[in-house]
Amino acid sequence: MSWIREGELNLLERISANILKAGPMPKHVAFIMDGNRRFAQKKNMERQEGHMQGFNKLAETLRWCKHLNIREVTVYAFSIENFKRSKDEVDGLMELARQKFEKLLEERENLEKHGVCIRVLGDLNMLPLDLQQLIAKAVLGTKAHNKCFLNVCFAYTSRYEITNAVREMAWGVEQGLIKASDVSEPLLSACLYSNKSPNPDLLIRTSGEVRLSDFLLWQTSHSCLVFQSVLWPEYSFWNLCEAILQYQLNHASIQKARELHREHQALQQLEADRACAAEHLQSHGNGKPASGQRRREALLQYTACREERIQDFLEALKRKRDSFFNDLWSAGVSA
Amino acid sequence: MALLYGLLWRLLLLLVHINRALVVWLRVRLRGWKRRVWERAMAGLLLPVALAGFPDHQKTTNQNPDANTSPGTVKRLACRRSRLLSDGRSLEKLPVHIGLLVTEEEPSYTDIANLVVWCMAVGISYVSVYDNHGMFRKNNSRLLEEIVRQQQDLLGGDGSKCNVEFLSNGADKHHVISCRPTVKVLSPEDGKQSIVQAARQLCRSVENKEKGSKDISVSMLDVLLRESRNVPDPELVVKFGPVDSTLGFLPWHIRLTEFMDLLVTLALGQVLSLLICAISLTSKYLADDFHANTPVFQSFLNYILLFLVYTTTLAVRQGDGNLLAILKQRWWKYMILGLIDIEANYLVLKAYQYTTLSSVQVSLCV
Repeated sequence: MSWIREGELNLLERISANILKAGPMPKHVAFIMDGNRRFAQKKNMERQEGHMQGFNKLAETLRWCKHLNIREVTVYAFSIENFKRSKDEVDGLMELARQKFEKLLEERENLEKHGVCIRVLGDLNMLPLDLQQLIAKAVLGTKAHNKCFLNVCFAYTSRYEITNAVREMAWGVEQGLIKASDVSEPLLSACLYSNKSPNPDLLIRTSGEVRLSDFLLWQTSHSCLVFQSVLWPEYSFWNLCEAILQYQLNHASIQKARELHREHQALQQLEADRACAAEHLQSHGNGKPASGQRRREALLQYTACREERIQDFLEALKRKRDSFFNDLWSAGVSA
Repeated sequence: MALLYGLLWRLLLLLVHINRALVVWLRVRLRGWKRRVWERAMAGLLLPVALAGFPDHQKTTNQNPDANTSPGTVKRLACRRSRLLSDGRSLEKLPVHIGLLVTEEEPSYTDIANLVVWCMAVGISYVSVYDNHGMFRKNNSRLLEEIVRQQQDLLGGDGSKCNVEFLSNGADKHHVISCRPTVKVLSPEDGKQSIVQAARQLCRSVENKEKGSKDISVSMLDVLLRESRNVPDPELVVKFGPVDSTLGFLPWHIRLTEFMDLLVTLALGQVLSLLICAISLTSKYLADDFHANTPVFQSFLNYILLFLVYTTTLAVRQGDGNLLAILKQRWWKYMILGLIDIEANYLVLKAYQYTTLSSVQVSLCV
């Protein structure tokens, strides 16, 4: 079954969508697509069939999101914890992924028409090599598209993502690109796998579980969390509308909290810069206490230097990540 | 056209707000008031209380001690303490670490202190209190005073047994050495900022060539974020307030945490008491001044509200909690209980015509 579903909404759905669009809409929605196995059990199907139905539901949900002007969707396809499941199930899921990514590559013109950019987030080293190559092809093929974005979290856990970001920053320090004192919240956010996306506005988890299960823990600290008891393969347009309505109810308070957090974080950055600039002045000064003017100049200079360092580091990181995909792709082509 | 949609949207939001407010009001009112009536009726009919089937979703949270019991004799306190303990023991599973996430603008210190003391009394070892403005952290001492005072009030002068250890910040003050139960006051700095600090520490050690960047692992970061004490991750976070978000609560630690939204604000307790008081007063007023002999009519309005809110909510729910499914399984229980409820309501409202307000309230509360 295809990744892209064509088709308009029916009249009632269209009216409801228009009513919802009168209010603030989330620009980035994250889904934890839970409940495939329970659905399969309920309908007396094979588990594989449950996962297939889950994928079909994903394609349908993307269509609804397109009609609701939700430009970016992130989904939790496979967790690193899921590797602990039975070998049969894991192999089945990998095979499903292979089929789906191959189908994706076949539909390239369709993806270009809709401007869909696919990104895969996670510790891809843990996957079989042929799957990694398929993923690299899909990601590089849709890189230039910018109308809507689909982030698939495969072999992903949030703790591994955060640890990886710390490792990248440590690599930057090792290479002499940045200093340890440059480490800050925005820099860590820029080193995550999801650095090209804004933080999700809305996180939806289906099947009634009320946990985050190691999904986007850093990015969803100020997102609206909606837990719905419907199983993922039974998800409907009205469930999505319900979730969006809940987002709209919480919108004002969450915006306020985000603003507060941002102000607080900017203040902390300023304090840190001031401390570093003062230290710098002291070590390079001639023992005399510096004037206010001198201190302000030093602060501005230090901030400018720090920002330049960080830009260079982020460029280097981007090059490193791109070359990872390019190497995979060229290995796949030549193989 | 856009204007029309805008208006419809505003109307939709208003309806949802009203629905929510009604659900909360009815749920809390039912639990508090009718439970006592029902329990007595059950006992009267010699039916086991278990049949009453209160859908107690909050199995793993605290049971409120009687709000109306006046702080009094040692015997009463001892009864309450043992009841709290037995309540805790009767639960199948208690979280080792519970988080109280307050998303209100102006939280009530007394209510939080109450919650903390109940958690400790029921047997939960670690309690974390968080609000996203950092107000509890700023007013640390005030919260500590309230907790100590509530401990005295609710559990008697047992302060020496239930030593509260106050972990305010990783680096500084520990008030008492004993380990359980422990209260931790958190603010947004303990969330992302502490992860950044751990990252900075690791980068500094890489800068000083003490380790390589490839040596950094999840467990290394985990150890740094857990500080020196082996406090487990919060297993359950109970959220108070209208906002459906974690608002920066310990992002690293909430990997497998379950979130429970009680849909009440802490201040609602005060508002509800006020409402219940108003209802009693108006019932009495109606009976005295207007000689209105309408106990059935008064409870009829109540039932209309219940029907509008709960039946519609259940009707749209899918799956096992659906109205049809519930009716199929347990219709006869609801018939019996409905009959008893109507009669009990009738009797209480009738009572306002024969006696004073205070005696009705006292007989309800006993």
